[in-house]
Amino acid sequence: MPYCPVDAIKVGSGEVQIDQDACVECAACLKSGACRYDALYQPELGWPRILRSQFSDPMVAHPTTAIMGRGTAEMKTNDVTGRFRQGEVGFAVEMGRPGISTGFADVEKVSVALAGTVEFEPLNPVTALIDSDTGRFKDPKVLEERALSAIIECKTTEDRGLEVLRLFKEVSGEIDTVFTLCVIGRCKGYDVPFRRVMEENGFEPRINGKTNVGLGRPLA
Amino acid sequence: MTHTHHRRGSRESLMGDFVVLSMVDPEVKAQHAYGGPLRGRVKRFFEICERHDPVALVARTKGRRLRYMRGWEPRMDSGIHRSSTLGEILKCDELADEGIGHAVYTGIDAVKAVLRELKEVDLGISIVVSGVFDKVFEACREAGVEPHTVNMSLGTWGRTELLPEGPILELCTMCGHAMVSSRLVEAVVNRVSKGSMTAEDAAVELGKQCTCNIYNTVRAAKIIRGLSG
Repeated sequence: MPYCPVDAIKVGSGEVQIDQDACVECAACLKSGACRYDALYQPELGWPRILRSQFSDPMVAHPTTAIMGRGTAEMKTNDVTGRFRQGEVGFAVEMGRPGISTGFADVEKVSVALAGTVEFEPLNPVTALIDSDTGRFKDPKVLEERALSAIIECKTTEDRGLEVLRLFKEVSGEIDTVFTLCVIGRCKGYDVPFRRVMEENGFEPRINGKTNVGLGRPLA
Repeated sequence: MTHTHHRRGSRESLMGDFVVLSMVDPEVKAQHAYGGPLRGRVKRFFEICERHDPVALVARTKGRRLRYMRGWEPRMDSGIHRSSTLGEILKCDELADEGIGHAVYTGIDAVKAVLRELKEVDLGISIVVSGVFDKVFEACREAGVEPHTVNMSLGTWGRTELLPEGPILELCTMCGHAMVSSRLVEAVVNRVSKGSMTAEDAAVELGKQCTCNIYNTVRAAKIIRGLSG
């Protein structure tokens, strides 16, 4: 079953089985229609396992955001929300991406490292589960779960941006998975001031990324 | 929600890969009210995107997604994955009023043309372009729009030894939600190598799994051809 993003479907002893610990309930197998015996089905999920589906299946809207996907509208609507203002820098750290998956214990390691230094995005699904002061999950049962990915979104002021990047660097050596890191900055004309700050300090952004072109109305 | 972000590849390869996304913020009522009924403005967005030869286009309707992807024919439908034509999307009168749409292009010239038209019609919907920054900024200048905010990628951190190899990762990361598994990539590349599948059909088989429909099948077919020798 090559359709499974986390290789949770195994063939053994003449049977095909789903490793329930590895399965992140993303439903990619079910959606693919690849099972010739039509034997796949989505069981009803209780707490906390339902988090796997909410964080992994892009066609399931998370209850806290009502948006299908794993985070918020972040900078995509920043021209009308003003979520990130001039002088602020945003971060989205997507644990488990691309395609490795993450345990929520690793998510907590990063959120604990950030707590007290950043402002967590209030509408984000991970923020809804943690104590923002400590970064710890309010319900320890969450730590037993995993997801294809989970995004921690936060922001700080530009003058503290490098401090946060160094925290990411430190904690990246303590996790048993990967994360991809987004840095969100406001433009000044056709310049991106925080990009230069990063480059001058050894953090080299990739050549491609996302640009909100400021056509939303009314402008924030 | 950063699903069009973190696409891997060389500059040359990424120069053939741009995504234009529209979004209305669910929290900002003034944006919903700006410039008339949202459904009509979303329709205009799709009309403009369609005129400039997208390689993929997706519209949300009440209850399902209408998915156009170049090379995807109805014979290749499977599971929940159903192909649509550009004509079906443009004629649809049941577009969801949430303002979300995507179009994927294989070159910056199309993006420039789309931005010029979007500026002209002033839909009031937030527009995000994913792709090589200097080319996107150039497109903004030529269209007379000023970039507002950027989302930059600092790449992947942590146990990067777990990641698949370069070209396989390039094919996987075109679906930001990781619905395209590295094992599926290997399986279709193997079939192309054996001559039992074309690179174009293999690209569609991968792209189908990306339910947001932002997969660039033209770029994917090129990478698959390179991998299959």
